[in-house]
Formats: sequence, structure tokens, C-alpha cells
Amino acid sequence: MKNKKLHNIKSAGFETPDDYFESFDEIIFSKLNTKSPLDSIKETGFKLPSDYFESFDEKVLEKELKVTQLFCKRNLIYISSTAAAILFLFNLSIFESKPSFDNLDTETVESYMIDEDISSYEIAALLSDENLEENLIIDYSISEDTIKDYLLNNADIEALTIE
Amino acid sequence: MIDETQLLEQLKSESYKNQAFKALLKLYKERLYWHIRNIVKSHDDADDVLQNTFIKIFKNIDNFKGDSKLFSWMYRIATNESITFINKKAKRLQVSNKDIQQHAINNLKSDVYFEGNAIQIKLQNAIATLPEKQQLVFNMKYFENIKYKDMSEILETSEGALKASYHIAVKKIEAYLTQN
Repeated sequence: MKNKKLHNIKSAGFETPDDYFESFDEIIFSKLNTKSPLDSIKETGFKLPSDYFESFDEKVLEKELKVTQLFCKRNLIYISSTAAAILFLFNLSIFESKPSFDNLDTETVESYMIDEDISSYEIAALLSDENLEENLIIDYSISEDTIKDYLLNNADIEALTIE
Repeated sequence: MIDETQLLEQLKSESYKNQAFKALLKLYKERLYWHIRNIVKSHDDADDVLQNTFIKIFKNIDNFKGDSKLFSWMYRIATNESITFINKKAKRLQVSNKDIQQHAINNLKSDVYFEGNAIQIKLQNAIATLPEKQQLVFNMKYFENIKYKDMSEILETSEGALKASYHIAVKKIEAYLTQN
């Protein structure tokens, strides 16, 4: 009968090596008896001063007192007055200094002039007549070709022609 | 029959522990081996798990309260060690437990410690289709001939539930064998 098929299979078919069970005990005992290197180390080796714990309490109490002293009224006054002085000094120093022109670079002036839209008339107004001298007009010998090139590339002809 | 109370006493004593443990090995190592082997399939894996089981028994005997029979406790350790073994392998290889089991069965053909019968491989495949607990019940009843009473203590399940589980398992296996 088909139902009996399972019961025809008597064993799972698994086998073991020869003497497996005989030699098993030995293996187990050798594993159980294997001394760990840890077995010989029972203590950390750390030591401390002989009356450490007895004197500990005293030390802590002393420290606690010092800490509370830190925050006493006298210290608070010292600290706050120092802070105030620093702040005061800081504020004074802001009003003291005048800007010096030595530190002012050309780029800063340029960008200021561009930003504020300062016209050439305003600049001209700043110049006094005495400042204008002949030797301010720099003598360059510029070739005709250079002039021509410049005019072609940069100049607005209409603006230059006199009506 | 061995007096379990006395054996347990000796196992918990300093002077008789080793001697008593040897007795325990003699009594149970083969039974536990086959129980483990039915779960893990290969001899090498069964050997690993069996060693782990006995070392665990030796180290934890003091914690054994005696609220169940000694052998039930030992079988439970063996079962858990086997399942843990498979779980660890599955996790390491990032596959399922079923995959590990199937892989082990596929290797049986080339296993030196397997009889190599086609019908027996088919049976292993049939058992592998069952849920984990049902596989345990089937193996323990069919191959290991463990009484339902004892099985109930080992698996902490009622005898009635175990009987039902076994009959379902047999039906499924027979259907598998017929169809394949």
C-alpha cells in the first residue's frame, strides 16, 4: 500500500565515523580541562595607599568648602567689576580711534566712489586751483598708430566731433 | 534504572562531578547525538553541537533546579544548541534557516557519513517542508522513538498537541513521497 511507503524507511541513513562515540569523552574532558590563561590571573594588581578610604572623606569635605568659597559674595563682586571694566574699556576704544588715511587702499576708495555715484564734478570741486601744475600733465610720446587704435576701439566718434 | 537524584547530587558536588559527568556521557551522548544529527544533518555539525551541548551541561548543572527530569533538560539544551547553530549559520551567510537546511540536505549525496539511498534523501526533503517544530516532533517520534510523555516535557507542549502534530507531519510526508 502506498501509505506504508514511509514505514519502509527504517533509518534516516546517517552514519558516524568509526570509534566516534568511544573517543568523544576524551575530547570533552580535554576541552573542559583546558586551562584558560585567565585562570592564573586572579587579581588586577592595582594597589592603593594604606589609609586611603579613611582620609578620603576629609579630602572631599575640604574640597567642597573651597568650591563654595569660589562662589562667595566677595568673589562675585570681583568678577563682576572686572567684567564691567573690560566692557567699559571696549566701548571707549571704539570712539577713540579716527580712521587714518594711511590704511585706506585704492580699491576701497574706488568702490566707495562707484557705490556713492560720485561724479567728476564733485571730485573737481575738491581740487583747489593751486594743485594744478603743468608738470601734472605727464609728457608721454604716444605714436599716431596707438592713438588711432585707441580711437577706433574706445572712442565714441560722435561725441568727439565738434559741430 | 539509574537513580537520577543521586546522579544529580554527585554532579553538583566537587569531588564526584567528573565521575558523575562521565556516567552522564555514557548514558546520553549517543541519544543526544542522533537527536542533534536529525536537526543539523551533517556529522561534523552534529559533532560541534554535541560538544557544545555537553560543555553547556557541565557548566550549568549547578543551575539545574530539578523542576523537570535531567534528560528533558539535556534534550532541551541539545535542541536549542542545534537551532542556534543553524540560526548563526543563516545569519552569517545572510540566508534563511530553510536555505541552510536545504543546503545541508543537498550535500548529503556526497557525504561520506550518509548511506546514499535516494529514498532517504527524498524523506529528508519531505521533512524539510514541515514547520520547524513539526520536524522536531516527527524526528523524535519516528527515528528517536521518544515517548509522547517525555517529548511533552522536552518540548514543553501538551501530549495531545504533539500527537496531532505528528499525525499531520506523517500525512504531509507521505503525500510528498507519493507525489515525488
